[in-house]
Amino acid sequence: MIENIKVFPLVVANHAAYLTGQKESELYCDGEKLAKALLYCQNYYNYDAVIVFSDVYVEMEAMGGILSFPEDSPPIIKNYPKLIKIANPYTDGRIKEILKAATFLKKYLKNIPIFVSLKGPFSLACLLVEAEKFFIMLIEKEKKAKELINIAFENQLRYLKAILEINCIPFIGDPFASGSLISYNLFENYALPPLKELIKEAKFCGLHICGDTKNLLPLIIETKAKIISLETDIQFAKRYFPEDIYLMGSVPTDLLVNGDIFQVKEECEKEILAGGRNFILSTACDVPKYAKKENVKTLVDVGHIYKRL
Amino acid sequence: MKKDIYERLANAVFNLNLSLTEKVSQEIVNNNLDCRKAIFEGLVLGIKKVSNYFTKGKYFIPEVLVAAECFYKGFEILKTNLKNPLPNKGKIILAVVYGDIHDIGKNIVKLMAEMDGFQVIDLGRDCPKEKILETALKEKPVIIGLSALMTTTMLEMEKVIKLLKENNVKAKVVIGGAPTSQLFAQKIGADGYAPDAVSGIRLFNQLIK
Repeated sequence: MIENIKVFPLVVANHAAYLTGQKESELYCDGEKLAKALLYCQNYYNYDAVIVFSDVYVEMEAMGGILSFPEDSPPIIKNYPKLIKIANPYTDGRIKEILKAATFLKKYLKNIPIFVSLKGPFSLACLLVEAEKFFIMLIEKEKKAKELINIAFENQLRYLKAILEINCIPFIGDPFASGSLISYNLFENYALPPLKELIKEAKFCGLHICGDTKNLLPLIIETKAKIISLETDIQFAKRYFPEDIYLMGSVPTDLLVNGDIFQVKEECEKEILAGGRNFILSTACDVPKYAKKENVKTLVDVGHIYKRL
Repeated sequence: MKKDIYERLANAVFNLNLSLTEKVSQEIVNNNLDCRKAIFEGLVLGIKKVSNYFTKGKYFIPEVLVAAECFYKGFEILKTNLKNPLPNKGKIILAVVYGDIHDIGKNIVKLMAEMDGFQVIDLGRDCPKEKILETALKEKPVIIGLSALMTTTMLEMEKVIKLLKENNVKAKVVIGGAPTSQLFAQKIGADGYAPDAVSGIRLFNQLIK
């Protein structure tokens, strides 16, 4: 089924809310509404795989964080967890809503792979305390930082197993392990080991790392993720990639908001040409809430024309 | 000895050594040495070296944050014995726009702007546009720097700029943050776009000329 994915823009809750005319908060808190909105988006654009993602705080909330939900913007952190606990994915916070959404989509989209997004342990650890504190901890308190990452890993291992149980594919997002934020050494020391463990457990999964990852590519490949989604220039990244890894990316999300269909078409063709075999045309990161529909549609159409070649 | 001690201070900051930064700063105060010189030839030089490494991709955000911690700790100690005031290039307002709580980038810009001689008014994160306007009217800054990390919240920047223009605020508006771009800056009527903190400071200096 994976071989059939040629175009897979990362359409998630906020753009789905915009496209279906709903308030974002409704989708963040209700798995069935999220699933229906994502289903609508897939039907509308006709891309080849769906990712279930609401917001970055799902796991940290389930582990004891407190959020508020403005009607039509992403959740806001009110309190970081005072006592961090390993979440039960079936009962704690909104993880169960994500699993509900994935189960619903699995039922209605039988021939389309359903991915479920979960954080890499490094990024989850960063979200459990204030990011600034976490980054300082990496340099000043290595032992404490590793303990926190281990807790995040244990949590994600449970979540990952729950995703596999419903026959969906884990898609790990590690936004704070970005090459724009941390060095090669910090990635190798802190982010890579738990990623490798999680991916080994999943056997087959996707991985998305935000930002400029040029200097991290050899380490990212070491994770052995089958699908790797990047913001980095595809032509550059392709040189490092073995043939059996599906490279995914990386139409700039800004272009979907501010560009026109001709610019999007040109960019997509450039990406496809650079990506070569086993390339999945996608967005560099999540499709922005207010991405122009015709731009997303163009991305998908260009991806499908390439499919027929 | 004097020259050596300022160099030691710069190296302590550059090597991200907080306890050594504190120790050397205290030594400077205890020996009644020139604290202004210690700030510029020690702390600022250290931060400049950090910023240089950051531009070259040898240091990243964690290293810059620890260097900032070293700087502020050293500055806190040295300022107790400071005789002459630091230069002032004018006031800058910095804010992470409403709905967005990601302020690491803004904090780095704040540190570098302060080092460069600007007086920074930090409005923090998740800042409503009305608060930015109110502060701008009261403080009359030369620059207003807006930051956002999310594609959803960056749209708030346009609302801020519109409100500032409607109220005839003369300050130049510079935007930054991961999802923003030059194209976006032009579209929403910002005076400039900075892809990172170092270019942000360069742009501030160009805009006040």
